[in-house]
Amino acid sequence: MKKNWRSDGTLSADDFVISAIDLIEKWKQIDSAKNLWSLNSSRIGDVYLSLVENIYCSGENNPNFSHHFQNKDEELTWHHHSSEEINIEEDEVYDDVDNDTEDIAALVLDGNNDIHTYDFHIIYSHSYKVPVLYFRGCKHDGQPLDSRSVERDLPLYSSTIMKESKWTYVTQEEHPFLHRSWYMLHPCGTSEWMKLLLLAGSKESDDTPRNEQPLSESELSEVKRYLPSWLSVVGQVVGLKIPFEIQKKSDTHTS
Amino acid sequence: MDGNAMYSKEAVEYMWKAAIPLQIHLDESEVTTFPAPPPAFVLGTRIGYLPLLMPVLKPYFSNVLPPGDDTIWFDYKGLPLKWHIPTGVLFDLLCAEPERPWNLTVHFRGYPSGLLTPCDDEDTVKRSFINSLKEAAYIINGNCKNIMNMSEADQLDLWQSVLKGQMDGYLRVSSSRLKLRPLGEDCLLKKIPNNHPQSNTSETASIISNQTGRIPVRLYVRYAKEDLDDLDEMPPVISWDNISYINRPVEIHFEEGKYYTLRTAMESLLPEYGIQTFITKADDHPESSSASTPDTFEQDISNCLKFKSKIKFIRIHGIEPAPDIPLSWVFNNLSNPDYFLHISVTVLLENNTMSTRSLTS
Repeated sequence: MKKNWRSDGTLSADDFVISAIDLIEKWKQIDSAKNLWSLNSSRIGDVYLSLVENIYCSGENNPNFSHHFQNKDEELTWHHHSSEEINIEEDEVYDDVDNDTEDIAALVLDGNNDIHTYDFHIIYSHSYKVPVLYFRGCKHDGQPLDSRSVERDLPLYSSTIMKESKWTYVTQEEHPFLHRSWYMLHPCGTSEWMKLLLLAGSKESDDTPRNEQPLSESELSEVKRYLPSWLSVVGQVVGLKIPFEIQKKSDTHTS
Repeated sequence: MDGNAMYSKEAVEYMWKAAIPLQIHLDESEVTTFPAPPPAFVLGTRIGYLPLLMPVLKPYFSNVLPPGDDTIWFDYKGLPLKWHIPTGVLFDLLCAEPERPWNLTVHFRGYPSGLLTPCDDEDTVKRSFINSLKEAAYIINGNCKNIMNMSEADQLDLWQSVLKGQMDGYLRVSSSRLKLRPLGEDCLLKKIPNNHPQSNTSETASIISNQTGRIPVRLYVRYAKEDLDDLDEMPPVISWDNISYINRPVEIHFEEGKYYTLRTAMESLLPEYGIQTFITKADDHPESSSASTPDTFEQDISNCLKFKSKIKFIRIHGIEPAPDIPLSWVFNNLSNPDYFLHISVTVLLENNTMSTRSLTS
């Protein structure tokens, strides 16, 4: 007999796969989404998600233009959050336009801009029973970025939240499947804030234990909602924007 | 604690004192004098970490080093050694036939940052240890608040005990601050009845309400391509891609009469090998075999047969426990100070499966 995941903010390994597959399908349906998550399998049988993102950034000799930007023709996928709102609101769409204009100016002024490529992996932690975000960056020539460069690429929001909370921090850890050093958003506090987040978004608080029978439709929709909700928080820390439509679809699904 | 059948202070003392004789050579590219300095002979504690040998090795080799900043790292037969894995686990995993002394190469330059996680100083090792401890606490208790709320002084005391190999100091802090208690009194892990005299205590109530225990386990699985009779012939590991790292707790359900052994734990942790054959040293033990029905519908019987393999040995702290030893005893007495049970496994792949299976696939 499984414990209902909403009561403690965790997710079982099987439900992680369900939510992961659903996230991929939703992401595909968004026309504006430029890059897609893909499903991978490790040799020991664990399933995980991966995504590649490119960002444009200024060179080290232009510290004043350390914020990131993109060409106006490309969708802006990295941006700052000035507020601590978890849910992405309509206003941010307008803010993106302003940021885009400002970034173009930075692009013109800066002759040393470079492209940084980031890999993101969402891997299930059997210890903490929550998803974990691993990421790493490299330059256009494939050279890995050092921690100072990665730190500069992170949104300003990250440094603020990491100063205020001892539960949210980025460390360098070994990727469990690739045997290399990656950055990781430490999962030790995830179940606590996911518990709050899911309760806030759930109209019905149901603590009924779930048996081994197949998921009911409402239970299935709750499981599918886990990863978009988780990503709406985690994505902010690393500047990975979740398309507004994903959150909208998730909310619509449960209403 | 003395009356607890699942806890043996003698076994724990042996675990804390266990050490591996190391013969450490300076990498020849870093030798600036002639002749090369003789190797350093050091005892490395099994529960310790290689970078902690820096205070001993740097003074020994500093006179012959070229100019530059020191960042210590080690390799064994060309394989960079992951510093966050305890020394004893590395030895059990990489030396199929124990090599005494264990010959390692130390480097102070050219840190392979593409292969190893950065390790600048002792504090990095300490943080890694505390992170493992937090993870273990979460597995056992469902949260890691006891570690997060530990004072800096207590944290330092705990770490110093590990650093110096002081079991009593460690137990003093861990028992009062961490509150990670050994598993139940009985190896059958019987459910505590409601009318039990202690049933009104919070700890007992927690056990009853939980009905499930989780044991922190880290499995390091090495694959060998041939069915070797002589462990000396096993080729050295040249890449960490040839080793599977399985960081997955073992779940124990408190059911009447349910008996959890090391064998049942291994079967749950290696789902790829639904059918296992345990081979111990032929002269010492009779061969024992075990077949279990796959638990999940996804697991295909034919796949199990296709990837049939033999577990050459399972090592914990250098010993090969009998498969039917109670799991709770193993955890209570053989866990490292980070409360993880680190298990090294060597798996031999059948020759006839080599055409269909690649180690890197």
